[in-house]
Order: sequence, then structure tokens, then C-alpha cells
Amino acid sequence: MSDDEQFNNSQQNSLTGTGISEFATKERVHNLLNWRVLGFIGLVIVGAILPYLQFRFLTFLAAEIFIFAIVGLGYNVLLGYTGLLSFGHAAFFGGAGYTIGLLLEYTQIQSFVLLAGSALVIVFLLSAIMGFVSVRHTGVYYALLMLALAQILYLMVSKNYNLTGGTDGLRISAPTILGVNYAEQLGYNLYLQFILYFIIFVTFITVVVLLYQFMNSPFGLTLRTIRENPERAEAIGIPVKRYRWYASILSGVIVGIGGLLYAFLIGRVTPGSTLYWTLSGEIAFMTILGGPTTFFGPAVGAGVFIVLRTIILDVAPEMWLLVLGTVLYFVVVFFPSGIYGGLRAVLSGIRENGVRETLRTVWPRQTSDTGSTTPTQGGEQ
Amino acid sequence: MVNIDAVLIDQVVRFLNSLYYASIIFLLAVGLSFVYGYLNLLNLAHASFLSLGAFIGAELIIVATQLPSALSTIGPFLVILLVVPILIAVIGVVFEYSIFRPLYDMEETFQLLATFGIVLMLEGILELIWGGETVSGTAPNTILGTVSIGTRTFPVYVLGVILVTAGVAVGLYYFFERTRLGRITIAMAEDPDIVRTCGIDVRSIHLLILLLSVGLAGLAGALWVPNASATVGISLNFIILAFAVVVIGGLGSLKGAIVGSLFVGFVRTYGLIFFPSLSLVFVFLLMAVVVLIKPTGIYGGLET
Repeated sequence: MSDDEQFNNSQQNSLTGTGISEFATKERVHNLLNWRVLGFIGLVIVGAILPYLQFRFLTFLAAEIFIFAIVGLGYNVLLGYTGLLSFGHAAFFGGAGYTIGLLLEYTQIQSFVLLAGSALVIVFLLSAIMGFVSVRHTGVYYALLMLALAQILYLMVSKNYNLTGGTDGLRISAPTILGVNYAEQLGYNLYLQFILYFIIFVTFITVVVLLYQFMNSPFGLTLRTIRENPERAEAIGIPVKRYRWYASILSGVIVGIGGLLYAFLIGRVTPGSTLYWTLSGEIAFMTILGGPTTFFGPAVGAGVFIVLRTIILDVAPEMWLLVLGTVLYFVVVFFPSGIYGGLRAVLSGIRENGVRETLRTVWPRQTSDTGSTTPTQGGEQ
Repeated sequence: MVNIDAVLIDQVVRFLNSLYYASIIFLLAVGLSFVYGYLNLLNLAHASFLSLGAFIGAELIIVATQLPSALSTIGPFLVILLVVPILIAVIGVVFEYSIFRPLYDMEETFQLLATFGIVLMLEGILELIWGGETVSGTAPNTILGTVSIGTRTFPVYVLGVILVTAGVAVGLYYFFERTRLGRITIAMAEDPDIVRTCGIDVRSIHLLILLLSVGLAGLAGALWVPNASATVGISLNFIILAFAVVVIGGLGSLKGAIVGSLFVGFVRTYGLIFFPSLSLVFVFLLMAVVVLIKPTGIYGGLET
């Protein structure tokens, strides 16, 4: 957990050092130039150049990765920062997609801004209601409540064939953007590679930057306090339940952003692929795979997940579920801090303690006296 | 008069169908409940054993019907009632020794995630072996034939399933209430350390409960397959329903599993009449309400 401490410390420095201390500014500059920021800048450059390489498949893949990176980051507001595992986030992902699908089917609305806006309003309401109900509990009962509520939505959508198209779902046609239907004017390929891709890409960048600021604001620190010790948080005057509710709304809306972009990218919403509970599990998987104790981990996890899926579905599609399940099991049991979290722990550990000592701390099972290897999820009893 | 009879007969058939569905769900949910109550493992992968039982059951029923004369009529029932449950129980123990064991001491939310991994793993294995195929073994249905209820006919096999399940429920009740081993098991759920101090091998009781639970899931799959067919993905629906049953009834409670599965069975059948598209919504609605009001379920706590 050394990475997490480092993460927290640097934040505390910039928080407590409100008087302009030299130390704090140095720390700031150091923070700005560390590899995390450099990596992000690199990603921005690569992402911006990508469509000009004219590989349609690659652009599509990148768009999918950015979408699920958004979803993972949003999901982690609950899992990593607040310590709540949800098995119902498919409801927000699919809820956004279905809002758009239904609007396109039954109204004349075609504008991207209107469609996306109303999807977000619906998802906001949905996550406010589901969150309001579910934060009455923590731990496994929170997970089961979210599961039950999301399953209700799934059943209502998949069984109302006349309204929602049942298991066949709804078609999502290309929207007009600021009054122009680019898909008709430029052709679908160019629309996908240059218009839709850049909408997704810019949304991703925006979500990363804003959410990063937000999670390192007093709000984010409060969530982390609640995760670490809810009783103490309550005792020092934090309204724990209300903050958990805020967190589940924020998380739901961000997952909804991913869901609406996904609907536009794929061009169809079906209950099986956007609302079923296994999708909630897959979202949790991406987050765990990347590392729920870090901010960027879930985005890395989403990237690895999508690339892995694309490769396996291409090479040996029948192996996909088996590989997915096996990887999930081993990550949860043996590497709960995920790829990004583990990598960070190893890097900073080697810098400080050398290789051998680091291996021992990264894989505490070898020392056995450290007890459970699970990260500090859900501080509840 | 004829009309009233017809309505009555309809009701009887509907009632029996509800009981049949409740039976399958009960055999699945009771194991899920025990594994949580006595082993402290929240196992999303429990219904995968039902899937496995359904596939293996269907294949073995087909094999059994090709046996010589007398065996081909008894064979399928031996397969369903003995061979498949024992086989699945053995597979369950293999799983226990390899992949369930590291999970016992983890937090429940992490158990959910890890066992979700196992769900996908097993689905993957089923897909590797059977692909998109559906397998069905309808022999038991045709062997037993039908019985007439008034003007309608009803499969004897379904009645058999209900009776077998009732037998299992009574047997479990007897085990927990009247036998020494059953009482020890309940004591172990309360306080394993004290039980261990009394010189009782807690580990072997763990294994026994797991054997029983997984075997019952296998039995549920085998009982279910003659009337439906085994396809990849059925466990995903079943596990969510089983969770609903167990949460409604109370995690770890035998009575709760009975009441919960009866509720699900009847809601599923009768809901179809009034709200054809939304019958199962009520199940999840009740699940949410129960968790909100009394998270330990209707028969919460660990008394059976």
C-alpha cells in the first residue's frame, strides 16, 4: 500500500501547505513532472494523432478503450475511493444508451447535445434513486441491493418487447452535431474516425482532468476518510451516508457518460450487452485489474481488458470466458492492487528498498504474517 | 359446471408447476445459503454446478437410455438421483481444495468478485466442451408418462421432482434438528473455535457441508434438464434468482430457503397471468425491500 500512502502524502502536502511554503511548491513542480503526468501527455499526443494513421480498426479500438476507461474511472469513485462494491452499474451504462435509443425511436430529436444531455439527466435521476436506496447499507448488502435494482431495470427493458425491442434492442443512428449530420455528409467512416472519435477522446481527457481534480479536492479526501474509517468519519462530523450517496451519483453519471458514448460508437443498444448484471461484473473486473487503490489504475485496466478481449476474440474466441475468469480470479486473490497499483509499488519499492525486499512486500503471501492481502476496501464491519 | 371444473383444473396445474419451479430453485438456493452460513463463502459460482449437473446429466441420460432392456428404464433415474449429484459433489471438493480455499478469509465483497471470476471460468469451460450446443435428455419424462387431472394430462415426472425435493427438505430438517452431526454443524456456524476446542474436526464438517450443497446443486441441474435443455449461460440467470431467494429468506437459513423459493416459484407462474412481461420484477423488488427493512432476511440469523 506504499503507493497509496505516497499518493495521500503528496495530496496532504498540497492541502496543508496553504501558506506558500517552498517545500510545497517544490513538491508541486515535482508532481507536475513525474512520469504519471508525462505518461498522460504522451497518451494525449498518441490519441490525437491516431485517427490520421487511417487504420479504422485501430481508431475504433482506441475509442472503445477510452470509453471503458471513463467507465472504470467512474466506477472507481465508489470501489476505490469510497469502498463500495456495486453489482448494478450496468443500469447506468445501459440506462444512458437506452435513453438515447428510445428518444431516437419515438421522438424527432437528432441533436447530439440534446440526446447526450437527456441521457445524463436520466442517469443522474437513476443513480440518485438507486444510490439513495442502496447507501443505507454497505458491503455485501450494498452490492446485492444495487444488483436487485439493476436487475429490475434489465427485466423491464428486455421483457417489454413492444417498447424497447426486447432482446434485439434498439438501433442508434448517427446524431446531428451542431445541426450537421456528419455521417451523411462525410460518410460513416470519416464520421467515425474524425468526429465521433474526437468527441470520445476529448470527453475522456475532460473526465480525467476534472475527476482527478475532484477526487483530490476535500470531497475526494472525505470519501477516502469514510473508506478508511466510517465510524471516525461520523465522529468528526462527516455525514457519511450523504457522502456515500454523492459518490454513487457521481460514479453513476460518469459511467453513464461512458454508456452514451458506447451506444453511439456501436450503433445499437441491447439489454444483454449493456444492462445485464455480468456487465457490472466486467466493469468491476477492469477496475480491479488496473488497480482500485490508484486514480489511473482503472483506465489502465480498461485498456488491458479491451486489448486482451480483442486479441482473444480474434485468435481463439471460445477461450475468452475461460481466460477472463481465470485472470479475474488470480488478480482478486493474489494481486488485489492490480497492474497499475502493483507496478507503482514495485517501482517505488525498488527505488527505496531494492529488489528483494520489494518482492516480499508486493506479494505478502510469502511473509504470511501480514494477514489479508485485500486492500482497504469497504471500511465497514 | 364444466367451466368451474376447467378453472379448478387449471389452478391445480398451475399450482403444481409453481411447486416444480420452486423445487429446482430450492435445491440450488439451499446450498448457496449453507455455503454462506456455515463456510462463510458468498459463492456466485454456486449455480455453475447446476449448469454442470444439467450438461453432464443430459449426456448421461442419453447414454443410459441406450443400455440393455431393464437398465434403460431405471438408468436415467439412477443418473439423476445418484450419479450426477455424486459426480458434481466430487468436482465441488476438487474446487474446494484448489480455488475456494483461499477465499474463506477474504472480505465478502472480494469473495463476490473472485467467485464471479469462477463463474466466467466455468462458463468458459462449458463453452469449450459443448460450444453453442443445447443438450437435452427427455427420457425420464417419456418413461414415466403422464397422469390425467380431470380433462388435462400432467407429466408424472414433474410430480416426482416435487416429491424428491420435499424428501430432501425433510431430510435436511431432520439432519439439522435431530442428528448429532447436524447440531454440531449449527454450533460450528455460531462459533467454530469453541467447537474445535471440543475436539471436533471442523474442517471435515466444512467439507461435508460443501459436498452436500454442491451435490444438491448438481441434483437440481439433473432434475431440471429433462424438461428443459442445457445451454451455456443458464447459470447466470439461476444464480441471480438463487441470490434473491436466499436474501429474501435469510442467508444461512433452511426455512428461509424454503419460503423464498416457494415465493419465487409462485410469483413466476402467477405473475405471468397478470403481468406477463414483469413477473420476475416482483422477485427483485421484494429482494430490495427485504434488504432495506431486514437485511438478514425473513428468517435471519442462523437457526435452521
